[in-house]
Amino acid sequence: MERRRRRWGVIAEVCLWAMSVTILVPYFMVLLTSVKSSKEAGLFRLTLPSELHLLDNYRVVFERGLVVQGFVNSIIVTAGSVLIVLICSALLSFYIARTRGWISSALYRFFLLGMVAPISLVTTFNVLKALSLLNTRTGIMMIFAGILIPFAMFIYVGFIRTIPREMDEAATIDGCGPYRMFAVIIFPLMKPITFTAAILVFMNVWNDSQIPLFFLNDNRYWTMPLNIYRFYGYFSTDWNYIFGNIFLTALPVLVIYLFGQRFMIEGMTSGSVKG
Amino acid sequence: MSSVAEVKTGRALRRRKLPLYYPVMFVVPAFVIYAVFFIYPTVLGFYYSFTDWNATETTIRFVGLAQFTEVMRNPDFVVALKNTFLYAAITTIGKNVIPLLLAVLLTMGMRSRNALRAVYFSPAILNIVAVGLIFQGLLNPHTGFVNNLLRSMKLDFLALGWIGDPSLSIYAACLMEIWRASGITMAIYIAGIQNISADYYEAAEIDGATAWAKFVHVTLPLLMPAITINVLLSVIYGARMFEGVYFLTQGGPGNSSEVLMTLVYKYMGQGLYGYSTALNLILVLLIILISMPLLSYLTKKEVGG
Repeated sequence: MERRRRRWGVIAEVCLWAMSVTILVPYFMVLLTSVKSSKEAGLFRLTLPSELHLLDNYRVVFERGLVVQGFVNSIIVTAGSVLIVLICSALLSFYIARTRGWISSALYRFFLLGMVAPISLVTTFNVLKALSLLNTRTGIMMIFAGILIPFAMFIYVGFIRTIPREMDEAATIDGCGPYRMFAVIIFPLMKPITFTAAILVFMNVWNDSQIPLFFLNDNRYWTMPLNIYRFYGYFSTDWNYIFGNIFLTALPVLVIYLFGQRFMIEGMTSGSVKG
Repeated sequence: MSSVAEVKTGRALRRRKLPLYYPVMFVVPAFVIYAVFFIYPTVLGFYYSFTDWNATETTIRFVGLAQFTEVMRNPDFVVALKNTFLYAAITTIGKNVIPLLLAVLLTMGMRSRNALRAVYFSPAILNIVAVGLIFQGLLNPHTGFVNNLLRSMKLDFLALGWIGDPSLSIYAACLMEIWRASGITMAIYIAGIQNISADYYEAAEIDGATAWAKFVHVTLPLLMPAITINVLLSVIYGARMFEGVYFLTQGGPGNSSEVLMTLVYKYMGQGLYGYSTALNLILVLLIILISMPLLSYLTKKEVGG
């Protein structure tokens, strides 16, 4: 029995590695193509480049792709959104998890709507315009916050319910007001789930391309993913440059993934199983 | 007046301390942002879908259901509606069946399971613009990697038009989404399977259950909560997909791979605001109509075990 199972285990392992080429081959295609000449790159072959174009290709990507500008925009927008979403949703979730009755459950359902309905393009555009937030990084941060606060709440509420209520009572008896109690006692206890929520929000904002496409006409503020798209508009046949740009854009997330793989996977899946 | 209020809160304090701990101020920041930047535009959009609001006229008139009858007569809408259903259905099946299989295999206790999990999850960390361009490289009918490979293997009859063929483009978009997002559902299934106590499997083994019987009678029922969330999120995500289609085919060739969300964007760009919001409202209703019965069906299965 045990031996048979081990044999099946080995067969499954071999099959899984064989199937993983469907994922790994596209990666190799991107890397190899990014160091070829334009002519060779357009053939999308998995061969080594006949002559290496590493530095000259990536110089074009850096100079014409506005990689640095895109990176700075991505950092600002992502950091801002993560901060706004975490603060707002932590406070909100604490209230929802601790109070009982119809207000609390109505609030929960009201915010869950945000996970179901698609964003209304035309009218959101007009709201931004009315608030003079159109074509600003602050504007899209607020849109991201509006979409992602429900998402973060979804994973926060379940966790906060596991923090004993006695904590709150003890803090109050010791003379803490509600705000100090939250800041000094409760929020530090929420650290693990805050970390998870932070990864989740980070990934969503960093990789998003539709919100900047809809609400940023001014490409000075475009984040990295949308920058690739504009770059593709200029160099639609020079796949060596396009794939080089894709690699550079994926690099920051890739580095985080390699170091914090476990947290990242946990982050992106939590709320579904444990929540 | 104020003294009455004080007495009241005082009494409430003695009976139930709770309301005093949690001021409504905790809700205010989230509520304001969510209401202003999500709920208000959504509700306003519902209103405008009954008007003739567009970029060329200065006055906005109420036109009742005229936009909706206009939408129904639009051949692009019919294509987009069909594609939205197809896309949501195919990606939901693909993003759940394949990952479920992977998750079962990857929890069998093989030596390289962590490396395999990392590989299968990795596409999920890429942005969709990048994935869309990678798939253009893979699926280009003339120079794409896939067709090159098929031709070199003398399988020319399989070298189809993919993103260049109007009858296949939406399926190419489905394939891309399954490739990109299966890792996330897989990770959720793995976590779900690891939560199942080994006792169930031991009991089943004593009863002489085969591997298949164990999967059907132990794994699947106990995995129902994970299946529910995965299927539901896949359906909602698939129905409102924009990026996964736009950055691969832009709705083309022609209108062959338009989905509702790409049409909403297209008509906004053309200045047909009322028309665009009407389409958006149809999409919202569609998602609610599909996801609510689906949720109650799946949760019923969960309770029934």
